[in-house]
Amino acid sequence: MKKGVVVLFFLILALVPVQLFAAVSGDPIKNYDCPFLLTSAGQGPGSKQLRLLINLSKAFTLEKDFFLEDEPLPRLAEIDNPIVGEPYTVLVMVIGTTDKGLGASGITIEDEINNLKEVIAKAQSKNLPIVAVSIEQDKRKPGIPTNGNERIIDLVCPVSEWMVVLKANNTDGRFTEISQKYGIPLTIVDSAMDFSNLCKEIFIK
Amino acid sequence: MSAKKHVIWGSTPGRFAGKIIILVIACVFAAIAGYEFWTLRHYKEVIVVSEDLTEVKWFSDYVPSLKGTWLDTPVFIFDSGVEGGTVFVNGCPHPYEPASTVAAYLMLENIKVDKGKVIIVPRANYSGSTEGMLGDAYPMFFHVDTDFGPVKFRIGDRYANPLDQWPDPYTYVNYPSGQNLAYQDIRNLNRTYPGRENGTITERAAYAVMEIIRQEGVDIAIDMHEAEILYPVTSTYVAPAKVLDREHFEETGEMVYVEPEKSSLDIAMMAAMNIGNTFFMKSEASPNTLHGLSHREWADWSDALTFLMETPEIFIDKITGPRTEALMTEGKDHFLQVVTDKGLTYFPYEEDFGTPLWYRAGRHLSGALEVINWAGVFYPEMEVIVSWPTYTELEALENQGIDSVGAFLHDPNDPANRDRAYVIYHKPVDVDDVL
Repeated sequence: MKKGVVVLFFLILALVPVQLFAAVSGDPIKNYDCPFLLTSAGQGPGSKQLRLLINLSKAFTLEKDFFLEDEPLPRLAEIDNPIVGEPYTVLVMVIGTTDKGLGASGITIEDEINNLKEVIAKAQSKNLPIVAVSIEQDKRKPGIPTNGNERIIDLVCPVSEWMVVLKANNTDGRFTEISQKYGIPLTIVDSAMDFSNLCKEIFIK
Repeated sequence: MSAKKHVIWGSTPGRFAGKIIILVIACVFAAIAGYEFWTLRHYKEVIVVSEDLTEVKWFSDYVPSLKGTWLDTPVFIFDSGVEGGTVFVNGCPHPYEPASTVAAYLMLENIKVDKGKVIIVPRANYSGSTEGMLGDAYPMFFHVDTDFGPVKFRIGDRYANPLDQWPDPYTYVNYPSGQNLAYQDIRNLNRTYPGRENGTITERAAYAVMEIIRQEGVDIAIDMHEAEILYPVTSTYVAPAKVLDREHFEETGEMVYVEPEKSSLDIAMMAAMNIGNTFFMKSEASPNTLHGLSHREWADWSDALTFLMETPEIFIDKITGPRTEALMTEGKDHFLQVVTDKGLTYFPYEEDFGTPLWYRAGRHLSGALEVINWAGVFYPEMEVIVSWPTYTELEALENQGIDSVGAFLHDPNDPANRDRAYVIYHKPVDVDDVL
């Protein structure tokens, strides 16, 4: 009897939607088929963080279900010639400049923004939807419109069809404001770690 | 003849006497300053090392020419005897970032190792700890309250002491990258990696660190620093996304960077995301083209996973009020609050809380444990089971009004601790000669 109760408990647990555990709020989760393309918008490590969380979910295979390409020129080519062998269904742009590597690697924020404009134009020409993700904590500088992160938010978010944002990054309502202004759905996630479960809900193999 | 006398001795006995008085006053000031410099240089810190200690080595065991120099320093080894990974923790690469040293001392005094091996260097740049920053007025020491009285620690400089390595070149060229750096960086331990066995003493100390990592088979190497909150890379793990293809370099001399077999950056990102619920921490990839730093060169010239950790230390921000001992230990400054309110800092600074020493040391203690734990999750063969005080434990004591750093230090004069008391100096010193 006792064993039956335990089994029933875990059965119910398995059927409960992941969102209840993932501390997700805001607009409903959207779904996309695989394969999807990840890239960085700002050259910060956020896209690599997201790749890591996707890998931890053990639900997707790199170079088959998705691919990560951060480098400015290769990512433009990747949209045209997907390494996964079939066209991408969505472009996931992870917002965040790097505090360490942008200048030292010889890329300026202007170079990055110009390249992102080309990436966005190419995605739009191919009807490839863009999802804007903000996962890196405290990269933002609210009130300083010249800050790289703020400029990239202004560039990427308005052309996205969905925004997924870490709760700590929206405490000033920056993304809520964009959501309301442009009518773009906004989903808020409490912790970066929640993305690992969330990705299994979003992407369909 | 008389004109010559006039030039040398002055025209009146009064003027001559005046000059003598000025000279005497200058000598008195020089003597006082000299005494203070001597006191700072020769002050010896004493710690009580955990019972888990298995061996003490010195930098000079890895680079013999360092013996007798002020860049020789003790290396504490804690081997559980249980097969596992090996961790190296580097404290005090920049002595003017003293939470790094305090965290290393708290590790050394309280460490328990149940699996694998842990190697800790509490004062990697010993020479730099024996002076203050030239041209900057600030206290020589800070104190921590304990139940056995206040304990005194040196603050120190960023660079090795010019008394030990001089002169500086016009431009410092890092070996072997050939990258040009600022002249004083030739005395900066964290710009001279991977070092040279026959280079300057700072380069030799850097080489000793590399040899510890290589000879001891280190899997996880952690470098502890502090940074200004006006500097973007504060409250950050820095780890390499790519590493040097050493074979290709040895064959061609060309520096090509490749994805490593095991990723430090993945571990750093996981650690930052997970610990982000306790305190603000982010991660950054080490640039391939910025040479001489631990997060780049340790990874390029050894097989270890490498991590640099930065805590927020406002004492070294350039726009603070007076640089007092309280600014170092409490980190409260109104000027920085003003610039933070304008969005110009890279840390959510709040003057009421400040950036106290316990907070910064606690971040290093838990930040290092987080990296070690995640490395074991990603690569089970590297698992090390180790404990020392954590950020949460320090915070709980502070909430009770207890100086948490002092609470984890042990009294070297207590007979029960005497045989574990150890003098931190650039050469072995008997503890009975100091206490």
